[in-house]
Amino acid sequence: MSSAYSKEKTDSNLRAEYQKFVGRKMLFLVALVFGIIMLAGYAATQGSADISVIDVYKTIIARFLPGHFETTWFSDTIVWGLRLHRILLAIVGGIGLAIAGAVMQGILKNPLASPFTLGIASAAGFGAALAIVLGAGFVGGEYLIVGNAFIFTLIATLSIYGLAKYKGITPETMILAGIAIMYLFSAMTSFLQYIGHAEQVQEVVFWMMGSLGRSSWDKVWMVSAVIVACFPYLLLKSWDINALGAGDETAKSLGVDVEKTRVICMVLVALITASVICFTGTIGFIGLVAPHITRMVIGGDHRFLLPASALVGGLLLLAADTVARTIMAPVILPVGIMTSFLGVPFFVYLFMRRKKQFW
Amino acid sequence: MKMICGLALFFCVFIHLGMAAAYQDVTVPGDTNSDRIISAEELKAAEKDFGDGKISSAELEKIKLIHESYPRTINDSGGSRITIYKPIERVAVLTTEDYEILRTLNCTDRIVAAGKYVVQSQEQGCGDLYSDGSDLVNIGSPTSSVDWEALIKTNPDLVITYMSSPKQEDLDQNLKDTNITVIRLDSGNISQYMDIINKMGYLLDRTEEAQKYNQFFEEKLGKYLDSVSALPASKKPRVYLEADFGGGQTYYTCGTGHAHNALLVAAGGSNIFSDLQGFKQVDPESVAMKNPEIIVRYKYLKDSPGIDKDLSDTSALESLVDEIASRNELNQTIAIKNNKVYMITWDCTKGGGRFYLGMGYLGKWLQPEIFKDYSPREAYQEYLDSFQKTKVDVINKGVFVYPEE
Repeated sequence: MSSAYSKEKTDSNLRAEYQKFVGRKMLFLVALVFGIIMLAGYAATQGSADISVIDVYKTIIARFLPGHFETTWFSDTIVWGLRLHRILLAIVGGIGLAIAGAVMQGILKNPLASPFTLGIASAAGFGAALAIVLGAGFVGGEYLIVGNAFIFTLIATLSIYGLAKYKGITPETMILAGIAIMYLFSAMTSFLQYIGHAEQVQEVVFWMMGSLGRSSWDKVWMVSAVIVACFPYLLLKSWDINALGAGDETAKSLGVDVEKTRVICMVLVALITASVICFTGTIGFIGLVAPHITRMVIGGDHRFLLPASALVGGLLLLAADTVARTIMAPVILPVGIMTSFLGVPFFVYLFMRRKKQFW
Repeated sequence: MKMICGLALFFCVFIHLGMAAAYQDVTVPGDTNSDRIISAEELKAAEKDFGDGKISSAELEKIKLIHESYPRTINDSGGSRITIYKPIERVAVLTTEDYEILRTLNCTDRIVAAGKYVVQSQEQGCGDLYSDGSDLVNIGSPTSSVDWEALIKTNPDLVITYMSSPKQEDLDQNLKDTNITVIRLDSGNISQYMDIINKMGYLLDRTEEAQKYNQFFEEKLGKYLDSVSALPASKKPRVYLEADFGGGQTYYTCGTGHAHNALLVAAGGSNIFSDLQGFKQVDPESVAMKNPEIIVRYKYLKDSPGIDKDLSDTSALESLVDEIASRNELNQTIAIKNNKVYMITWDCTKGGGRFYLGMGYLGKWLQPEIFKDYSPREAYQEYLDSFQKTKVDVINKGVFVYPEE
C-alpha cells in the first residue's frame, strides 16, 4: 500500500518536474519570440533617413488599416521599401541557417556540423563563381548566379549522400564526405578566381561576402516558403533525431528508419540552406552556434531545440544586421563581422558558465 | 647510386646559388671600386683601357655617359628614394598605366616583361590597346598573383608597379636575392601624373619626350582642370558615386583616397560621401537623404572591352542607368528628377583613358560650361595616335559611357 502510494507520488512528482521543464522551455520560446518582435520594432526605426519613431509605426500600421493614418511617400518607401524586408530577411535567414545547423548536428551527432563545415556553402560559392567567371549556369537571365548557387548546393548534398551511401550512411562517412566536398568546391572556386579577370574575382568575393543588402520582398517570401515547407517535417522527425542521438542501434530498436531519416533531413536542410545563402551569400557562424547556445539553455531535446534554435538564429542575425547598419552609419559593415562580434562573446560566456558538459 | 644522386643535387644547388650571385652583382661598366659610381679616375682608367684595346669605343662612350649623368635619383610616389647608377636597359612593367607611360616616353624597346593585361590584351578585356606587347614575358597581375620566377628570369634593371600592390613584404621576400630596383608609381592620380612623367623621363633619359607629352596634356586637359580648381565649392554639384563591382551588391561608394573620387574631384564634382575613406557600402537611406544632383555609376562589364563595341551598342549600360532610376528610394532625388544618371566603364578608368575619357566625360557632365568644347573621343584618339602608336579607332568605335551627350 505504502509502496504504491510512494510510486504514485514519485510519478506525480516526476510529471510535475517534467511539466516544469517543459514550462521553462516554452517560456524560453515565448521570450525569444517577444525578443525578436521587440528588436524588429526597434530596427525598423533605425536608419539614416530622418523619420520619427511615430511616423515609422504609422507607416507600418497604415498598410493594414488604410485610410486611418496619414503617411508620406518618402517614409512609405524607406520603411516598406528598404527597412522591413531587410529585417524580415535577417529573421528568416537566421531561422533557416540555425535550423540547418541544429538538424545537421543532431543527425550527424557532431557538434561541428553546419552548412559551412560540410561544404554546402562552398558549393554555393562555386556555383556563383561559375556564373560570374564563365557565365555558365543552369538558369539564365537575372537568376543565373542565384540559380547556380542553389543547384550546386543540392549537387553537393547529393554528392555527400552518394559518397556516404557507398560506404554506408553513418555520421562519420557523411562528415568525411562533406569535408571532402568542401575542399573540392573551395579549390574549384579558387581555380575559377585564378583564371578570371581581377574584376570577376572581385565580383565572386563580393557575392560570397554575406550581406543582407540584396534583400527584397520576393526574397523574403521565397526563403519563408522553403522554410514553411520543410520545417514541419523536421519538427515531426524531432523524436527520431532525439533517438539518433542515443546511437544508431538504439534508434533502430526504437523503430526509426535511421538511413532514411538521415537522408531526408539532410536534403531538407540543404534546401533551406540553399534558399538562404543564394540570396545572402555566406553568413557563417549562425548555423554553427545558434543551436549550441540554445542547447546550453534548454538542453538537447530536438522538439524544443529546433524551434528555439531557429528563433535564436533569427534574433542573432537580426541583432547583428541592426548593429552592422547603424554602428558606423551611413557605412554598413559586412554582417558576417557582426555575427561573430556579437555571437562569440555570448557563446563563450555560456560555455564558461556551464559546469557540466552540454553536448 | 646514392653518390650520383648526391652529386646531382650538389650541382643543382651550386648552379642555383651561382645564378643568384650573378643577379646580385650590379655591374656598372668601368666601376673598379664597386661603389657603382664612375669617378674621374675610373674614367681615366677606362680611357687607358680603350687605348690599350681592352674595351671598345662603344663601351668607353657608355662609361663616359655614366660618369657625366649618373647616378640619377628620384623619389617615387610611395616616397622611396630610387637611385639608378647606369642607363636602364631592361624594364618590367606590371601595370597598364605605366606601360602607357613607357610608350609615351618612347621606351618600348626596353620593356622585357609586362603584366597580363598587356601581354594578353585581347583576352583580358583590353582589346588591341596593348597588342604591341603580346610578345613580352607575362609576369602576371600586380594585384592578385605576380609570376616571380618569370620576373626574376627576365633580369630587369627596373620593375614598375602600383603604389600598394604587390605588398612590400612580398616584394622583399621574392626579390631579396636580386638587385632589382622597384619603383612604385601612382600613375592613376591626375595631380601627380605630370610629375611622374617628368621623373620617369629623367630616369629613362627621355626628358624631351616627357616635356613634349606634358605640353600635350596641359593643352588638352590642363586648362580645363585649372578652370575647375578655381571654382568655388558652391559651383560644384553634389555627386553620388556608385562603384558596382557586381555580386548583386549595390550602394558601394568611393570616398576620399579612392581613385574614382580623385577623378570626380578633378572634374569639378563634390562627393556626397567625401567624409568616408576608400571603398564602403552605405545605407541607401543616406543617399536619399543627401539628395545628390548627379549620380555616376561605375561598372565593370562582362562583355568588356567597350573599346571594340559599335557606337550604338549601349543597351547594357542603358539598363544599368534604368536600374538606378527604378530604385524607389532615389526617385525623389534631384539627380533622378533631372535625369542626371550616368554610367562609366572600365575603359574610362585605366591607362590614358582614365584622364582623356573618364575625367573628360565627368567634366562634361559635372561642369558642362567649362568642358563644352572638350571632346573626350578626339582627345583620346590624338593621345593614342601621337603617343601610344596604336591602331585603335575610338572615334567611330567604342562604348565607354552612357549617355554620351
